Amino acid sequence: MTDKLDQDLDELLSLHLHSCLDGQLGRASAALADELAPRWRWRLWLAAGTAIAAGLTVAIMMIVHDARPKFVTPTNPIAPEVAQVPPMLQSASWSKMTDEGTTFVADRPMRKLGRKVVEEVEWYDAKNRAMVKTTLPQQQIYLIEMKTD
Amino acid sequence: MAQTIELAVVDLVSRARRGDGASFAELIKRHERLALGVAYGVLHDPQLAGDVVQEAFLKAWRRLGDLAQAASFAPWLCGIVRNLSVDQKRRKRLAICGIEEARSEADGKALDPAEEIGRREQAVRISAALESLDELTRSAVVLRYYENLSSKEIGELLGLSSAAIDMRLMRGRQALKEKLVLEVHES
Repeated sequence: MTDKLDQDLDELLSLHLHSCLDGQLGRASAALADELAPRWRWRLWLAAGTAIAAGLTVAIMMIVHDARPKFVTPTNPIAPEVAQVPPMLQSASWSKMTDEGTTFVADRPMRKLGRKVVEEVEWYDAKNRAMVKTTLPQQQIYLIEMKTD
Repeated sequence: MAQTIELAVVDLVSRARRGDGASFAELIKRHERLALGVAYGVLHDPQLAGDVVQEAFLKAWRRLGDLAQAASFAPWLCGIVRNLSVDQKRRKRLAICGIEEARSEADGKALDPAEEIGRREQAVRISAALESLDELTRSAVVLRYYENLSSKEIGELLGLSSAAIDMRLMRGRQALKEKLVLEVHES
């Protein structure tokens, strides 16, 4: 009788505990899967971000490269010397006229005018990949004969 | 055979330590019932036990490096489960495995209404009888009847000797028998 009671109790407890707790099985595995999933998502985002950053860098480099001045050499140049002239980008000149008074040339009075000129030319040297700038200062003297009548 | 299983667990722990989620998932599979038994022993609430076990495994996964010996995974895990269960018990009022739980455990089986009512009442009675046991005795009973562990294994997990577990199981069974068996036979 006691054995039967013990057997019933064992069975009852076992059934009850399985009934109560088996429904909770699998939750921890699901939680672990959730725990691991964000890590993969994070890695995916990192990889995607790196790829996008690399793409943007390449694109910016290409844009910068394209923004540099391009010099097109004529395919059929009219004269070789023309083709060899570096493509001019910018030129400027400044001049200043000064009255330097009267001077005598061969005993004849002359009005002396001085003119100072500075010419600047700037262009891109594609061969050396550098901007080149030349400055040419000049000084001119004009003599105007003065009538003495 | 037991040594083979232990080695496998050691291997799984070792792999999981290197970040192998699949190995840790296998560890969960092998120890989930055990963890549920420990948590239920403390909390006496299936839902809360499930919550705690879920949290405990995640905590174990994150802190696997703290485990000194891979072979001690089960006692270490049970320590985490027990600590979390005690914290949970402090925070929340205990609920017994009552009518609502019993209803959810019907597994969709279409029962006769009278049979269903009887089953729920029985679940409430068993739950109340288990709750009347002290925490360690209840844990020992749950681990024995849910996970079918030996007294030695239960003792290792709960930090008691095998003889102490035998004593608690005997007293626990006696108390449960007094509360339940007569009712079962009457019904």
